[in-house]
Amino acid sequence: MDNRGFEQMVALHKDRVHSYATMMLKDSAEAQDVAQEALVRLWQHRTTVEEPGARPWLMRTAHNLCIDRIRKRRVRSEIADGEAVVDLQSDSNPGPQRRAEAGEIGRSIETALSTLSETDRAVIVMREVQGLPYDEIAAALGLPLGTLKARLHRARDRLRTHLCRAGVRP
Amino acid sequence: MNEDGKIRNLSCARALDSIHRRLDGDPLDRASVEWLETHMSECTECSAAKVELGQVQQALQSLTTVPLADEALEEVWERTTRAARKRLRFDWRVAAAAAVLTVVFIGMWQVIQPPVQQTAVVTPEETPSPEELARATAEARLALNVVASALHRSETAAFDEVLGERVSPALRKMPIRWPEPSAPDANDEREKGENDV
Repeated sequence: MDNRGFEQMVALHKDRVHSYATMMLKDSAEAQDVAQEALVRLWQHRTTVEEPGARPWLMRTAHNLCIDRIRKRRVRSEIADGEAVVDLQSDSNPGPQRRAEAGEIGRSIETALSTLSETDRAVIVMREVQGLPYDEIAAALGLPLGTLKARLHRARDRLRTHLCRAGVRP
Repeated sequence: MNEDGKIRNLSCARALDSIHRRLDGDPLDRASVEWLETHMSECTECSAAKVELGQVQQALQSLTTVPLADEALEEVWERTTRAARKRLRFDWRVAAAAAVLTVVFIGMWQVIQPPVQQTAVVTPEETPSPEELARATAEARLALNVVASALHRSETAAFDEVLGERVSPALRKMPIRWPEPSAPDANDEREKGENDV
């Protein structure tokens, strides 16, 4: 991939990567860092990444970076011994999508998403929010197709259950 | 749980699986579709699940994309393509500086180096005339005679040193004659005569 190809890939996928990181991390500053880092890494690997494979490569990189950040949060929260426990459900810094058109249902879904495991959340965001094909998601997350679909069904059910309990009709 | 309950749970699980497959975009065969429709007409829970799951999917799909801020994108360009261009410009500067230094060094070297002595211009010699060639040949032969005499004398002296001047008188009597190219050598004639005999 040459410089021009890289610039095209960045223009094409930057918002997708940033949206994914935002929904995974629920922290706009961290999401921005992850998106930047993923794009810079694409630049660093531009000689080995072909343009058709840039999107799954970026999503996999962004996912791994998000998982790293979530793990570091956990470590920090354990060190803080409960004083400053990171609570994904009570994020004081609302993501941009919260300010967008989603409204009450959007906020509820965002909260419900935070109750899922990282992998289930990743599956839901990649498939239902971003509409990525199954094989691409499976490659990005390193999951077999059957496992991926099972996780997707389970995550949908949990979201539905959470929303029903919260008294929100989707 | 009674038998009816078990069958109902199994049927609901199958129905739920079919609902998910539909939401995934997987096609169902006609028999499965008919069975699902029949089940949902009888089961309010599965019917509600179908509606709610569809609404969850729609709500998820309605979440808007969060664009990356321009400042963040600028930083990406700074760290990638612009950094590469800067490195390229830096390389050109180094190359230009190296070229200038090379030119200066060559100039200084030429100034410091002592002037090269002019070598004599060699002009092609003219072709010698036959008279000059004959004279040169005669002079060369005379010189060779002188050299041969000197060699002969030195040989005699060597014998004198070894034998105590017992052979030098006899050796001195041996004349050294250089063969004349125009006239056959006396020795050659003698050898020729012997061969004829």
